[in-house]
Amino acid sequence: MNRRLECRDLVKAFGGFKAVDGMHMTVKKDEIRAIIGPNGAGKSTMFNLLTGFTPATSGKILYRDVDITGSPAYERVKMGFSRSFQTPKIFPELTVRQNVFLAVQAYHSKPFDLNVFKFRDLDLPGKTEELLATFDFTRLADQIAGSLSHGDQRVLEICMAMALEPEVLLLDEPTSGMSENETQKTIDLLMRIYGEAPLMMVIIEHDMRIVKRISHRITVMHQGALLAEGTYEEIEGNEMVRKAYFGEAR
Amino acid sequence: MMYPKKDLLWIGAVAVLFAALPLLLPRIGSSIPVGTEIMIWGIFATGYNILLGGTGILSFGHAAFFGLSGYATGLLLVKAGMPLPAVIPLAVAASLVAAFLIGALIIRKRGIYFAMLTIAFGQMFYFIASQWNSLTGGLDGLTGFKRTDILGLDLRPEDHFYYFVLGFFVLTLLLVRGLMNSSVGKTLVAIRENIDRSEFLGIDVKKYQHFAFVVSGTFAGLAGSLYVLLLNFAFPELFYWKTSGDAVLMSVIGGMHAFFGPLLGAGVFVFLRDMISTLTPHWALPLGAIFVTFVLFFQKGILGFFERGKNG
Repeated sequence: MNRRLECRDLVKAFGGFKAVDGMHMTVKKDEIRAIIGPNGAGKSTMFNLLTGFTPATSGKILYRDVDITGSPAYERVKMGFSRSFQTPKIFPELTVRQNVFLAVQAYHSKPFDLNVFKFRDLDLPGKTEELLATFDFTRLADQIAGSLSHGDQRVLEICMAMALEPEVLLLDEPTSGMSENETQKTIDLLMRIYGEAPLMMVIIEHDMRIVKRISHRITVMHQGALLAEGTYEEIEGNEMVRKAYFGEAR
Repeated sequence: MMYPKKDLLWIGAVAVLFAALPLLLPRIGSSIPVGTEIMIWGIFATGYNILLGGTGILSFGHAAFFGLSGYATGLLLVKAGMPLPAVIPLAVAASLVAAFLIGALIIRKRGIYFAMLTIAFGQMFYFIASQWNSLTGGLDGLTGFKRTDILGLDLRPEDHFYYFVLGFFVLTLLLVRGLMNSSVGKTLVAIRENIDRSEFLGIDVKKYQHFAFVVSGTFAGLAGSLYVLLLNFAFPELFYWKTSGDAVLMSVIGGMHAFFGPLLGAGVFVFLRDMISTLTPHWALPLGAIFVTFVLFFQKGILGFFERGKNG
């Protein structure tokens, strides 16, 4: 099975403005890919297209060589996609444990699944506790999720994304708004997850130290299109990238 | 997970309370049909709250299913002369089908657009019922039928019918609680809490929302059929948007995130309306003032207020 994520000539137009304008990208199985680019380069829109959050105007998205351009988000999730958002999308009025439980249940359910015997055998509460422990949430399990710190809410969202045992994990600026300490912990956590069971990760990230540390390859977007792609060293030495991105960021 | 286990005990307690209520009601200046009406609105509101409190969708159109089943009940009795054991299931089925079709048309709309469309559909039924004189009796309503007996049980006396409704009432509470505690109910709560996250947990959100719409519409239908049997009368106001609004109000007053909230709201609503309307013909004004007070000071409803900090 060819677990490759690929997009060809992808376009997303909002009215006359093309937020993504002819983007190409191929990410291989178990690869960690960083997407970087100045603000407004179309990184988040690109994510929304890849995950089915917004429909593409034109172009193609393929996963495992299957055309998923028109598939709704929930179907892509069932194919192995999972994502976080820049502003965490969690269940704010439920407890941390309930948040994780709902994710675990969703992963193990078919639509309108009422097979209580199956659920009993699966031990969803046990799986929930395991995840809570992995993400260091045991202590906070009974807290209302909306009352957690911003950093914890972001980690909770990643925890829920991982409850789906994804093949493709897409993280939109996973450490933005986090303290230095939280950022370190989150990156360590991501590396540990990857170390235990490699999976494809696509990460939008501004912090070049993080990009350098975790990604195998880097995609640079500029004005909705591909500017450059390569390893950290290749990107760092790329004159165009310096002009478009590093020049502004420093 | 969402509703605590002790709710089952509470359902038992509520059943016992309502079983004893016919002895109590006449003594406090009320009457048995008021109790019947509380249970009927309790069925409507508890079912409706699967949609509002459970899934986070506001519909102002469930009067359509309440009225449709009510009129179907009357028409099947008057025009078709069918026996009650066939009439009630058919009337409820009519609501189920209507909720399925209307839901399929409008469930893709979000928020205020959805609410507007539900009003539009409800009012459409209202105008049909009030204009189609030859079939529905127009604004005068549909008369000429009386509830008789069902499977050997004579439903004509008020207290007999009361206990007949009690059976449906307890069944409704058990079914709705069972649903909300199942994985399907928890999925509905997930959708209420965050549609986007639910979608990205792999949930087919629209299908579940449609499901909640149909189930709540079916319970509205059950309530409508029983209501018309209670009154031996069907009238266009059953379809009126205000009827839907009453269900919303009951859920909000009692607390839409607590299982018994809508039922409590229904009790308070019917009881107060009955009490105040015997005191003054302008009962709507003080009643409205009381409800405004409730909504202002008990923002999570009466039960929500007493369960603060806990998870409904």
